[in-house]
Amino acid sequence: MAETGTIALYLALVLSVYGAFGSVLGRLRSSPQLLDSARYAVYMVPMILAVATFSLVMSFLRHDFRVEYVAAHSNLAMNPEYTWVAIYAGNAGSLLYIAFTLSLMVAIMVALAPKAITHSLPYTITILMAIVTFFIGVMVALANPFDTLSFTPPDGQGINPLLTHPGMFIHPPLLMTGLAAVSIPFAIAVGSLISGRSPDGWVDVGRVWALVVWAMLGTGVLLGAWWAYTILGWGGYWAWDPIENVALMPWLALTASVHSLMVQKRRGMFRMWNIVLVNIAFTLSLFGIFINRGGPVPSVHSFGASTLGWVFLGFLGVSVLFSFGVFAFRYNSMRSAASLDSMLSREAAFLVNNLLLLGVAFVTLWGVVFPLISQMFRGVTVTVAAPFYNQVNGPLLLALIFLMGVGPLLPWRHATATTLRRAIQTPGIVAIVTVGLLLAAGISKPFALVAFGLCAFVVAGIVREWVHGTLVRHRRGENYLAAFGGLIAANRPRYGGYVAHLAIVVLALGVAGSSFYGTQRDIIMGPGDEETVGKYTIRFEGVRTETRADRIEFFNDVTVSQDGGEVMGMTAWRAFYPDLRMAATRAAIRSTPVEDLYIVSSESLEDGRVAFRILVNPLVWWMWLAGPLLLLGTLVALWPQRSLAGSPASTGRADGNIAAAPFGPD
Amino acid sequence: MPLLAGIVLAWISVLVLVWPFLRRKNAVHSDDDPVVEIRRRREAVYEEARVLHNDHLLGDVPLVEYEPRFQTHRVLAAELLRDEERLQELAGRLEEEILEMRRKVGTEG
Repeated sequence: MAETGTIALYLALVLSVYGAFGSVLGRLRSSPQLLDSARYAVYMVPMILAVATFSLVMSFLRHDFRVEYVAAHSNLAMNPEYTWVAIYAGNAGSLLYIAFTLSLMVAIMVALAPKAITHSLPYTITILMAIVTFFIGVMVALANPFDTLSFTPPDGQGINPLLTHPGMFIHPPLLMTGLAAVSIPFAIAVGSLISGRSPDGWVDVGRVWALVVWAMLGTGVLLGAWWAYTILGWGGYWAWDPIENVALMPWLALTASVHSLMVQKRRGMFRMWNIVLVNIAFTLSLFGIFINRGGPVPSVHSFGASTLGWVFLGFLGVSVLFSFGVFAFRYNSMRSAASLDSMLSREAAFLVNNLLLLGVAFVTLWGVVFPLISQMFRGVTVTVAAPFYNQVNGPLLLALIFLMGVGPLLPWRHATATTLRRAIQTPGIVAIVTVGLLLAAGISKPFALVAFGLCAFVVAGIVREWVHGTLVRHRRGENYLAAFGGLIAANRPRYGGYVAHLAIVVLALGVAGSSFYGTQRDIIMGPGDEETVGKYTIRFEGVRTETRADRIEFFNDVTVSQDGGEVMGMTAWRAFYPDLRMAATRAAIRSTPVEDLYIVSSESLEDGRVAFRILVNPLVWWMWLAGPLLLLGTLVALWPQRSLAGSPASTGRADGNIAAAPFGPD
Repeated sequence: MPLLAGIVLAWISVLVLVWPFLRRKNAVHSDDDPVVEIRRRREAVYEEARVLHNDHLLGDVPLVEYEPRFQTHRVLAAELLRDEERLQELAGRLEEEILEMRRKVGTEG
């Protein structure tokens, strides 16, 4: 199968090069045949890469340790269900995965491309195929997952135990595909720029793909947080680790972009700004891939030091020069159709929101690159840790939540003091009452109070909009359910956006609760010992041991009683892998909307006692709700609008009034 | 066996890439149909109007701003609809003329 895989890689490389050149040549020579042929090449590349991926899967399933990559990332003891994870456990396999999924998404984008971007699509295809060519080229030249050894080892080295977790089935694929797929909205925008046609023609389709990639990255980051929370055993979910940061940064830039594109769609404004934003998102995504591949910054989940990083850095440099070169070349054609009427308007709020999001992204970028700069120029190794990010980004994020509450309530163009007061009155009162109630309940940390108050403000604003809109439609004769459905359908991007805002609020709730009111204790217990942490009494019952082919598992059983009442059993799992000389843990977690009880066993002592880390993390449960809400919001925003143009009613022939027909009686 | 699979994949790829050059060159792309483009633009106007109407209902757009903007959308949609119908009529007339000429040629032949 390895030979088939290699042949498929070379074939995919030829096809992607043909797609890149054929597309632009077809456009320049006005040859529809060449354009079609290049488009078919775009469809063929994922099919051929699927053959390569299938070959690698079969090599894993057949334990073909002659293949170097299979020997390095699996062994006979590996559960076959982790084959999927093993595929992208290393550099070469993950490149194949990225090339396959990126080419598949590109093919889907090209197949569904609307007529509005017909003239720029060949350039878009050329850019995207050049990127796909780069990934396949790196594989063929430097990191072929089908390279074979000169001998066949009897067993492989095994998969990294940290990867044997359900979250690993979705988290890395989403992040890797998401990072690479930022190139799609980028290529749509730059393709449009090169074609020099309508400056707004790309906005709809660009926004759709920006949203798709945004949801992928967002969900991937959240799943990564969940994975870290359950498996890394330190009780947290976000450590501002460089690899976490490099996935967050393009997500922040895309968040700014999907908001800003709405302004261009509605008002024809921010044309240059949107191109800049999508360029920044793309540059940050390539930077992320570079950090991930090259390993210049140590991280728990990078692929370690490798020369590949410099190849990606070179590609990043070329891409930046190209994208900003095109921007400079077309600078004069991107003047906005309108300008800001007032700083008290929705578009102004979007602009400030953009600046704050970029502020957070650049603070995070500085935190990632500062150790590299320090090492390079001063020869001093420094680590930028969580306190730096929390202190600088914390206030910026709070300001963002405030804007998230105010922005959607402001009208387009300009707001008067009266409209502003009417919009924020109810949410403001709810926020003040919430803060008062929290103070009465003994919550007094200022940052926490501000965070909870702002969350209440945003939720109240959204609920008010939904209730008000539903009531208005209900008064026009619709039942409540139809009125609510009609409200959502009337402006899906807006109401989908509200659901996404709710996702951010529940995320903020979890972060604020666990950051300001979490408790942690490290204790050593022998069998029969009891300890009290908060309202929980924990009794260590003993340890059960099981020996597997590749590991020794320790099941540390505890009994937990809450306020002397309900009693339940929990098991903190730990395993030691002798061949890999590493241990892995699975925390025992009892999760409720109020708080998580988190127990992880860190070490077994010779006298039979076990070291435990026990945490009580308030409101973390809400964080994991953010993922489904984020996806739901994206789905609502992207759901296609019912077509009216082709329907008989819309033609107006029924009443002979063609002008009034699509707009109803009023 | 791997070589055979490679050759088959390569041949399929070549056939797919060459196919557009072998097709009839005068095949009309549905993308080039101006009626489709006009319908797309009309759809966009409807969406704008629907959002505007909803914003007005919710009190986000005052009547004084709503009425002229809504009227602009209404007129634009009517113009697009008129263009669409003209194009369709023209296409229909062309078809009839071609049919008529064919009949004549058939009769004369």
